[in-house]
Amino acid sequence: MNQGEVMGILGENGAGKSTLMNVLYGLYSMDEGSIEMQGKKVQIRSSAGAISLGLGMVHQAFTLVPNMTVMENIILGSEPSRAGVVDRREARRQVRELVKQVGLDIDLDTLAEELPTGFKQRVEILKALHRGAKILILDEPTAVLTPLESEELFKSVRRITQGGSTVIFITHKLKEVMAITNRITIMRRGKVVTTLDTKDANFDILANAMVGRSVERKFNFGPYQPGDLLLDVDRLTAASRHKTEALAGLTFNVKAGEIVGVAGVEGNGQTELVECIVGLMKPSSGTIKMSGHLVNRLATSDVLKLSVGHVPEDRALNGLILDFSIAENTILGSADRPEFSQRGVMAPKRIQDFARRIVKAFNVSTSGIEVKARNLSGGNQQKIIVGRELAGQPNLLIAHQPTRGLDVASTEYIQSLLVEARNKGRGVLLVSADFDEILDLSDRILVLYEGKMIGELKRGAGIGELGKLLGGIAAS
Amino acid sequence: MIETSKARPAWILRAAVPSLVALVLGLVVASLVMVAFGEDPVTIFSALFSGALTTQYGQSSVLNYMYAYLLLALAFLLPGKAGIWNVGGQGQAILGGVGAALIMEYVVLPPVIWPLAAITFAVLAGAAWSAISGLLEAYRNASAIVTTIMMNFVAANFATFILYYVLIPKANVLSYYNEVNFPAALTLPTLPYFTSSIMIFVAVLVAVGAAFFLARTTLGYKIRATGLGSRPAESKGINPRSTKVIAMIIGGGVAGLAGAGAVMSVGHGCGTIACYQDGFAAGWFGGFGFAGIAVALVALNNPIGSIFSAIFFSVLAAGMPYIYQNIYVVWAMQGIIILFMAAPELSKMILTLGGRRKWT
Amino acid sequence: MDLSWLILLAGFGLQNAIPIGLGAQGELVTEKSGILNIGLYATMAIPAFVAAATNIALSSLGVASAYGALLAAMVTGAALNFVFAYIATKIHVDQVIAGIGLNIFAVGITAVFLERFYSVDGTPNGHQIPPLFSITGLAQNVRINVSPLMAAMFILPVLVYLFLSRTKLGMHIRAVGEDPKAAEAAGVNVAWVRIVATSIGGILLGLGGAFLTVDFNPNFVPDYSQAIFPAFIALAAVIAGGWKPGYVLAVSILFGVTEALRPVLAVSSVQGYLFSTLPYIVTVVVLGIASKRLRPPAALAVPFKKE
Repeated sequence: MNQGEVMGILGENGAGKSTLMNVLYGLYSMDEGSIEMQGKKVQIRSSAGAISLGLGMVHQAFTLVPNMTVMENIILGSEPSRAGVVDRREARRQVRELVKQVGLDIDLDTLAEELPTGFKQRVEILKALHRGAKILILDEPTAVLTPLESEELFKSVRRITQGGSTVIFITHKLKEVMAITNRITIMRRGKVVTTLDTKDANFDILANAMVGRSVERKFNFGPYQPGDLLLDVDRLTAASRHKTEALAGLTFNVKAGEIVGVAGVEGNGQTELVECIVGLMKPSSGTIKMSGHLVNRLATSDVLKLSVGHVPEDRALNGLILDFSIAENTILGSADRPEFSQRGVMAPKRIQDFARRIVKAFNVSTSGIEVKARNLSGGNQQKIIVGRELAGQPNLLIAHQPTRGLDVASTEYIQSLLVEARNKGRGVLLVSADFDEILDLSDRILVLYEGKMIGELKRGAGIGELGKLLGGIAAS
Repeated sequence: MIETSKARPAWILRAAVPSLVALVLGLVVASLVMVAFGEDPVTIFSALFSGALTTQYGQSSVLNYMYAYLLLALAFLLPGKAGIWNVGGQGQAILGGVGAALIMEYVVLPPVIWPLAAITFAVLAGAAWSAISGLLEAYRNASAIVTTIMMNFVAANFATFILYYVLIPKANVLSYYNEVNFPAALTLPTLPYFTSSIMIFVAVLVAVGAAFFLARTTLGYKIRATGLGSRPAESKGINPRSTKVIAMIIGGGVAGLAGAGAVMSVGHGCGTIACYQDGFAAGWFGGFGFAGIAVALVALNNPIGSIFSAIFFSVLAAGMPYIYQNIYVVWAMQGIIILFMAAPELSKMILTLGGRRKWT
Repeated sequence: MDLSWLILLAGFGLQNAIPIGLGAQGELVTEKSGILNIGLYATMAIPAFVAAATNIALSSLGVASAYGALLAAMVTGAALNFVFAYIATKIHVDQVIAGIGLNIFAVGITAVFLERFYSVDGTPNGHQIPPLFSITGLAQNVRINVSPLMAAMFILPVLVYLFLSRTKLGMHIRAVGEDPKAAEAAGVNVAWVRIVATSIGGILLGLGGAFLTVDFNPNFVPDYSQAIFPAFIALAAVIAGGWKPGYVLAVSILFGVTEALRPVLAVSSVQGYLFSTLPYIVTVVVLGIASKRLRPPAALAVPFKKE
C-alpha cells in the first residue's frame, strides 16, 4: 500500500479479509510470510504492538463503553495526564483538533450509549486517530450506516487521506468500493485474486473475481413442482440492537417441495430474518404467515408446533446444549411429547431408542448416545441438530448456515439431507453465506441486501449475476 | 439419568476429587491453626468424631443437623441447576418456621391434619419468599444473590418480631423465656433410640426425590436445560424466565420444609421457636442456610452426593460441644472448604504442585 | 418544645452511619470495577479485630495506638481484598462462593483469636481516637463527639467522585466495570484494574471495621455479630444509592438513622425489629425497580475471560 491511498479489500464471507486484518492488528499470529512497514520488516504480536506501529482498527462490533461520554471513550487508554490525573483541558483540545481535521462533527459530552450507530462509528474512528493511527483499517464500516451516514463517512475518509493517513476499506459492496477507493484488492478463499486500480475496474469484473466457483456439487434433484404456500413473509420490518432497520420491508415466500436460498453477505439482516420467523424476535411491522396462520405474535414454542424445524446459526451457542448428552439434545423442545413422557415423567427407554435411531439414520459417529455434545466434532454436532429437526417431519425447515465450519464430507452429507427433504415435499429456507451452497442447492435464490430482497434468480443463474446482487447492484 | 450405568463408579470417584481435596485441605489448615496455638489436632478431632459418633446424644445430634443441612443444600442446588443463585435458604427456612408456628398457634385442626397443615403452610411460606427473588431476577434483572441475602435479614428480623409480638403473647409465656412450646399433638414423631425426629427420613426422601425429579421429569429436564444452555433451550421453546422462577419456588419450598422441621421437632431445644433462635436467626454464618450451601458445594451440587456431604458436616456440627474450646476453628475450617470448592481448579493445581500426575 | 430526641437521633444515627458510610464508599469503588465483594463482612470483621489487637498492643504509646490501629486495619483490609480479587480475576474463582467462604472463615478465625487472646471481661484498655470537637448544650446531658472518622465519612464521597471521574485509574475502573471487552480493546489491563480497585475498597472497609472497635467502644472486644450489621447494610447502601458516591452517603446516613430509631424513640425493642428490616427492604425494592434500567456496572460479578 502507498501512503495517502484508500485501498479497498473486496471479498465474500470466508475470503479471509477479516483474518488478514486480525493478523495485521496483532490479534492472530501468522504462520508464514512477512509484513514490512516503510521498508523494514516488523513483528506485530498484540494490538498494543500494532497501535505503536501506527495501525488503527475500527471493528464491526463497536467497543465503546456505554455509560462514558464520547470524549472519555476517545481518550480511554491514551489519556493525556499528569501524575495520574487526567488533564481534561488538554484532552479536549486534542480531540477538538482531531474533529476539525477529520470533519466528523460530534458532541463530545453525550454518553456513548445514546449515540445513533453512525455516530458510534465516528467515535471509533476518532479513537483510533487519537492514538496516532497512520493506517486506519475500516472493517465493513457501512454495514450499520444509512446511505446518508455512509456519504458522511466517505467525506471523512477523503479528508483523512488528504491529511496523509492511509485507509484500508474492507467491504463487499461494489458501489462503495468503486466510489471511495484508489485501488482494489480482491480476495477469495484466503488468497489475493487480483489487485487493480479502481479506474480500471467495473462491476462485472469485480463481481466475477469475487464470487468464483470451485467444483460444482451434483445432487439428485427431483422435478421442481412447488406445492402449498408454507411461508409467506410480507413487508417485514424489524430493528436490531445496532440498526433501526435491520429488515426494511422484506417480502418473499417458500412453497412445499422447493429450496429457497437466501444469499447475502452477513450483516444484511439474515439473523434478524430467521429470529423473526421462529419467534425469537418481534418484528416492528409486516406479517409472517405459515400455511395461512399469522405467526407474528407467537412464542417460539408455538411456532415450532406448526411443523417448523429450525437449524440455528451457531450450533454451539444456539443449537445444542454442550453439556447435555446426545440423547438429551435430541429431545430438546420435545420433552413434553407423549412419545417421550407421560404426565411429566420421561421415558428413558423410548428417548434412548429415538436417539439411537437418529444417530444411525444420520451417520453420527460416536461411541454412544451418552456422549456429551461437547465431545463431538462439529460435523457430528450438526448432524444431531439436523437429524433432530428432520425427525419431527416438519413441513418447513429453516436452515441457517447449516454447513458453516464443517469438513467436506459432513458438508456434502448435510446438503444431501436438505435435498432429500425437498424431494420429499418439504419446504426448505436456506439462509447461507456460502454462495457455492446457495448456487448448488437452491431452486430459487433470493439475495438479501441491507434488509431487503434485492433480486431473485432461478437455478442455473450465473455467478456474475449473483455477484452483482450480493454487492448491492440490482438488476437493471 | 438417562444414562447407562457402565462407567459410573470410576466416574464418581474422579468427580469427587475436588471435594475430597477441599475437605482434606480444610482439615490440614485447621490442624495447623490448632498447632499454632499449642493444641493437638489429633486429640481434638478424635474427641469431635468420637463424641459425635459414639454417644447417643451425639448421634442424635448428627441426625438432627443432617436433615436441616440436607434440605438447605437442596434449597441451594435446585435453583442452581436452573442457573439462579439461591443464597436465601436461611431466610426461607425461617419464614417456613414462622409459617408453621402461626398455624400451630392460631388454628386448631383434627389430629393428623394439623401438623400436615403446618408443614404445608411452612413450605408455601418458604416458596413465596423465594418467589420474590426469583421473579425479580427473571423479569427485572435484579441479582438474586443480592436480593436473597437481603431477604435473609428481613426474614430474621421479621421472625423475631413475630416471636415477641405475636407468638409469645398468644401463648401466654413470659417473654424472657424466649420460647414457645407447641402442643404435643404437633410434634413430629421421633425415632426409636435416638432423640431425633423422623425429619431425617423426610429429608433423605426429598433428596432422592430431587435426584429423580432432575433426571427423569420433563420439568427437571427443562430446569437443567435452562441452566446449562438457556439460549439453545429458548430457541427450542423453553422459557428461561418462567423456568428459573419455578426452580426458585421449589428451592424455597424445600427450605421452608426445613423450617417446619425445626419448630416441630423435639429434643436439643427444638420444639420451640427458640430452636431457630439458635440455629437460624443468630450467628448468620453459623446458620444452617450457609452450612447448607457448603454441603451442596462440596457435593458438587448433586442431590444424592449432598446426603453424604451432609453427613460429614453434621458430624462436625454435632461434635462441637465435645471440643468446646475449639468450635470456631471448625467454623473457620468450613470457610476454607467453601473457598477451595470455589475453585476446583485450585485444588487440582495444588495436587499437581508436587509434580504428581494430573487429574483431568 | 423538647427536641432532644431529634438531636439524639441525629447523633446516634450519624455514629451508626460511620462504618456503613466508610465501608459503602469502599465497596462502591470495588463494584464500579465489576467485582461483587460478597465477602465484605470478612473485610470488615478481620480488620476490626486487628485494630482492636493493635490498639491494645500499642496502648503504652498513648493515643498513637489508636491511629496505629486504624492503619493496621486499613492494611489488613487491603491485603484481604487484594487476595480475594487476585484469585477472582487470575484464577477465575467464583466470586460469590469465594465471598461466602471468606465470610464464614472470618467468623471462625476472629472468634478463634478472640478466645485465645482475650477474655470477655477485663480487657486491657485501648485508646480512643480523640474527637475533633464536641457538641454540647443542645439538650440536657447530651454530648455528641464528632470523630475524625465522621468527618472522613463526609469528605470521602467527594474524593471518590473526583477519583472516579478525573483520574486515569478512575476512568479505567469505570470502563472495566461497564464493558471489560471495550476496556481491553482500548489497552486497559482489566484484571489488574479490578485488583487495584478492590484493594482500595478493602482499605475503606477496613477503616470502617476499625471504627467499631477503636472508636465506638475501645474496651469492647469485637463480637462478630456486631460487625455483621454494618457490612451487609453497606452493601445495601451501595445498591440503594445507585452506585453514586453522594447518594450512597445519603443512604448510609439514612440507614444509620434507621437503626438509631429504636433506642431513641424508645420504640419497644420488639417493634424495633421491624425497623431493622427497612434498609434491606429498601434495597430489594430499588433493585427491583432499577435493575432493568441498567445502572449497576454492567459487568458486575461477571468473570472476564480473555479471548
